[in-house]
This record gives sequence, C-alpha cells and structure tokens, in this order.
Amino acid sequence: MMRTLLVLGTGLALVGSITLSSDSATLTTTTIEPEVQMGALASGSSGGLNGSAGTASITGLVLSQTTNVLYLNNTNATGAYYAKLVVTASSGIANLPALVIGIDNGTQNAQIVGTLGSLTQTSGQYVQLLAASTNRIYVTQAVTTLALTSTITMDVYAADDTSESAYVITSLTITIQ
Amino acid sequence: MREGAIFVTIGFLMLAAAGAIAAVTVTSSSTITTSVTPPPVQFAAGAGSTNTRYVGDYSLSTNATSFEGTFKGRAGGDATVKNVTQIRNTMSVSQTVTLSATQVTNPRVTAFTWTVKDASTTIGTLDHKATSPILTFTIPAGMTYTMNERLKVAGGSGNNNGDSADVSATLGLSAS
Repeated sequence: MMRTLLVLGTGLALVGSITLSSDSATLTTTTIEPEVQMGALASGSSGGLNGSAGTASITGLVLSQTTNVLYLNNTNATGAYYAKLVVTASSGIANLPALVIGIDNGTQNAQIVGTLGSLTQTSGQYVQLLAASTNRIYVTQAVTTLALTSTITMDVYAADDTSESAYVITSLTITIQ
Repeated sequence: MREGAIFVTIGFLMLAAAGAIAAVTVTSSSTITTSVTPPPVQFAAGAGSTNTRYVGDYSLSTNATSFEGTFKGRAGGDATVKNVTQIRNTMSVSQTVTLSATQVTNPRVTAFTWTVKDASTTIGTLDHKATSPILTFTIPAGMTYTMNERLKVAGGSGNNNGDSADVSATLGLSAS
C-alpha cells in the first residue's frame, strides 16, 4: 500500500508545469526630429517635414558635372553619424546611360551608380558625418534623354557606427528629367 | 502451576497491549520550508539600453523580472536599436517564454516591434501594432537572447510631430 502511494505521488509531481509571470515592462515612446536631416540646396529640392523626406529634381542634360541637390546635415552638436544611401525603387532608368549619386562630406563618395541604362550599384558604404557638419548629396555624370523622366527613390541610413548598432532610415527621391 | 498461571497472565497482557497499540492513531508531521530563488528567465540590460540617442531611463527591476524605459522615435524616420534588452534563461533546462504586450493604436506610430535574436538568427518578432501582441518561443538552457527595438513614426504636420506620436505600452514575460 505504501509503495503504491509513493508511486502515485511521484507521478503527480511530474504532471503539468509551473508558469512564472513577471511584472510588465513599462515602455514609453517620445518623438524628436531626426539628427541627420536633408535640406534644400538646389532649386527644386526640399528637405520636407522634419528634414526626413528629401526630394530633388534635376532638369536638363548633366554631363560630367556635379550638381549638389540636397544638404545632408548632422545636427547633433557633439556626436558623429555615419550615412549611406540604398535604392528602394526606380523608374525610367533606361533613360539614364550614366549616373552617379553620392554623399560629399568634403570628399565625394559614390553611393549609387548607373551605366548603360541600369543601376550597377544600388547601395554605398557608410560615410562619416562629423558633429554639427554640413554635407551634401550630389548627382554627377547623369546623362538623360530630354523630356524623359527617371526617378530613383532611396533610403538614407543615419547610423551610430558602421556596424549599425542603431540607425534611422529616412527617405529621398531624386527625379532627373 | 503458579508459574504456568503467571505466564498465561503475561500472555494475555501482551495481547491486550498489542490490541491497544493497533488502536492508536499515529500522527506524523512534515516540515515544509519555502525559499525565494531568482526567476528562471530574466531580463537583462543590453548594450543599446545606454544609447541615449534612442533610449532614456532604462532600468531593471530588482529581480530583473521587468524593466522600464523611454524610447525615442524620429518624426518621419524609422529607427532601429539593437540589443536594447536581453532575455536570459538561468536554468539548466530549456524554458518556454511568452512575451505579451499592449497594442499601440496611435496612427502616427506606424511600426513598433521587438525582435528577439539569437546572434544573427531571428527567433521572432513581437508587433505592438497587432491586435493582441504575443510571441512565444523556446530558449535553451543557459542561453541569452537579445532584443532589438524598432520604432517608426509618421512625418506628421509639425516641426517635430509634437507629442502626438508619444505612446505608452507594456511588455510582459512569462516562462514555463
């Protein structure tokens, strides 16, 4: 009898499980402006609301000359950021036998490259933006057939470091016609 | 003869005693001791918790069963912070972990998620925009997973979106 009871007791101990619940984490979000902002530079460009949605328009034939279309400013007074461009959508690329879009932080750094009507490079390497620095997004070597429009939409990454431990993505659209 | 009578008497007494013992109810007692041990699955601060560009006032509760913090979104931006917080299994056996959260309905917050990672491998994502945010996964014995936070905010109509995109939410953890 005793042995039977012991076996039953052991069996009961193995049935089911214990669930432990913790107190809930308390999460609060706040919203601030992006520290890396796009601002109007050339005619036809706009930094958009909060400097987070840049647009630029280039009209006419551009032959091996640089057009600075937007500012890409690091508004953080004490900390550097790293920025890069990544194409998310495009149209009318066949109208562009040649194209380079880049970030100029004192040195031109090509990010997006197109040749013979196709994009051969759709993202760039991170470029350092010093604290409180004014940088530029430029277009060069863009050759297009007049009256035909090409549009390139990009994500602008602003990261703490090149390993992307933290980053913010904003949007940029450049139209060439 | 007298000796024989004595033996018989003793025999009866012994039988009577035995009968008396059989009728005694024996009460035994057990000693139960309780103690408090750390929870088997705990939160821990990750490297991203001290990134003041994105996270403010991160703190763990005493027993690491909850945390609190303020997470800074960017108006018109999609912010990701890696390894903000961690989940640790301190046991020698695997645990089933369930994360559950409150829904964020603020339309200006277009994405608010926690992605649980085992190094570069994604274990799962908890979506605060879902109707009933929940994520269940198994964490092996002694393993630590990291949690990346993503907060995407609409551009808004003001200079910095004002306070209209600020939200409060909770994130609960249970283990079994």
